[in-house]
Amino acid sequence: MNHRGRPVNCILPPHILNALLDSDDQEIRRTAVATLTSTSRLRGERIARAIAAVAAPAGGRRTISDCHHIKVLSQATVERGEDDPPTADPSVNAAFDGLGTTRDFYWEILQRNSIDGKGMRLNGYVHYGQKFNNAFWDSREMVFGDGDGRIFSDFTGSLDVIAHELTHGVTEHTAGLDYHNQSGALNESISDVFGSVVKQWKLGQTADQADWLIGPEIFTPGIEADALRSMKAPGTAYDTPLLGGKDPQPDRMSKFVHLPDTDEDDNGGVHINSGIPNKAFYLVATGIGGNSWGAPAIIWYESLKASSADTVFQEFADTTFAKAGQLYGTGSPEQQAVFAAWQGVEITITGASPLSMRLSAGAASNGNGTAAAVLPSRVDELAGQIKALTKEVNGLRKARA
Amino acid sequence: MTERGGFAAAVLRAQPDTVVDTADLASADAAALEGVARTAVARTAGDSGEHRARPDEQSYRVVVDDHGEQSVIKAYDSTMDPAVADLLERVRRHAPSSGGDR
Repeated sequence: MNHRGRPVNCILPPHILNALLDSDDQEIRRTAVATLTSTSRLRGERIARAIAAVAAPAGGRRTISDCHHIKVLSQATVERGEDDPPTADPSVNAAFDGLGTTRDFYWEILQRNSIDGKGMRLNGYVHYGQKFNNAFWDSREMVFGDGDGRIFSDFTGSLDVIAHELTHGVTEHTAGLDYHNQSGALNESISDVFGSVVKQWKLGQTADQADWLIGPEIFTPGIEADALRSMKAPGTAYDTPLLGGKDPQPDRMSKFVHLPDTDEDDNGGVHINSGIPNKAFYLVATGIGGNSWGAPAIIWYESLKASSADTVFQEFADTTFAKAGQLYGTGSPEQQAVFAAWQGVEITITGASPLSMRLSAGAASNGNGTAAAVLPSRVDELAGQIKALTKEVNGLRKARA
Repeated sequence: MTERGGFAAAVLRAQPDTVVDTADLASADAAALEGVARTAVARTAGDSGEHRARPDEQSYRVVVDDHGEQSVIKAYDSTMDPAVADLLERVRRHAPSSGGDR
């Protein structure tokens, strides 16, 4: 991968950074890992991941509790803590392992220490309610149902579901995307994106090898469905009367599903319209190639941190484009992939036309940056001409009146 | 009972409401369900109805019809009252399609 971002000036030589990894101070270790990982990423090296694995964060300790099929968390019993061995309950172990994998992903790849970035404990609850067809994040813990055994099975059986729920916590502690309408659909999409990326990271898959399915394991064997959602092809995950017909997710803005912002209508279709940004991420990942947890995940994560509660699709798209430019260079293959991906779902990046992207790309590939550099002044020049023409037309109109 | 939202919201949105008539239940089950329903109605009578949506939680709307007098209960996973939770579980268990313990 050819990175054209600004060089990272690291004042500390690698051997000193390596020595800092042995520090007793967790913050010093964390900073050293972050610096090494960042530097190595831009060099295209793989060593930082191994270092980060050794210097695991002290935070994000896990506790898994059993709700014993009732819906009152205060009555649940603790079944497994961070240092405990596996139990006889597969759901407890699956939740424990899934939360651990997701926590490690956030630390090793994005240098984020648990949900809040400060080592927040990871509390998981399993066997919630009777035949509960759901998993959710309630701002403090992640809760998983067993499924009804007819349509759905145990929700801890799918790593991308567990990573999805934990990511809702990350979103709450970063952008805080409001759980309604477009910002809510974006919130859902971010969880699907990192749910899938964590699974790909765990399996060591490239973007081309991944299935890009959300929750393929949570349906019972008798249900004819690929999964609950498909990021690669939103709207195609299932088509069976037992699930209410066809997967309703749109894959582009012209198919956006307008629903009332009510409980009954999924807060404006947050689980439906998430198909649009989901598809955009899939297109970015496959457009860039390689592993989705590289540039695609980093661009999305940095954009999430730069977003706010009421961010909508267009704003998020613009932010990913800007972040891709900052991280990998204006007109870089990564930024071009981001531009093309959003075009693919009928969202055009504000202020960037296909022509300007071609000019930027050409400048980047020539290595001189000239075309990209003259664009702003050319835009200013055109804006000035439009202003002058408007003034002239207004003058003529007045004269005629 | 209407269930909506959740991780599988798109699927749940297409599911029909669950209707249980206590006249169809064994007398002990009917009495227990009616008692739980009365408790749940009383526990939620003063609810403001305001709720901040949490990611992937389900919402529940239960209409309790007591000889023509209707009460509506709204509930959410993240703020579930134990009495309402009990009602939801019993309704689900006694639902005609559940194959429960009728």
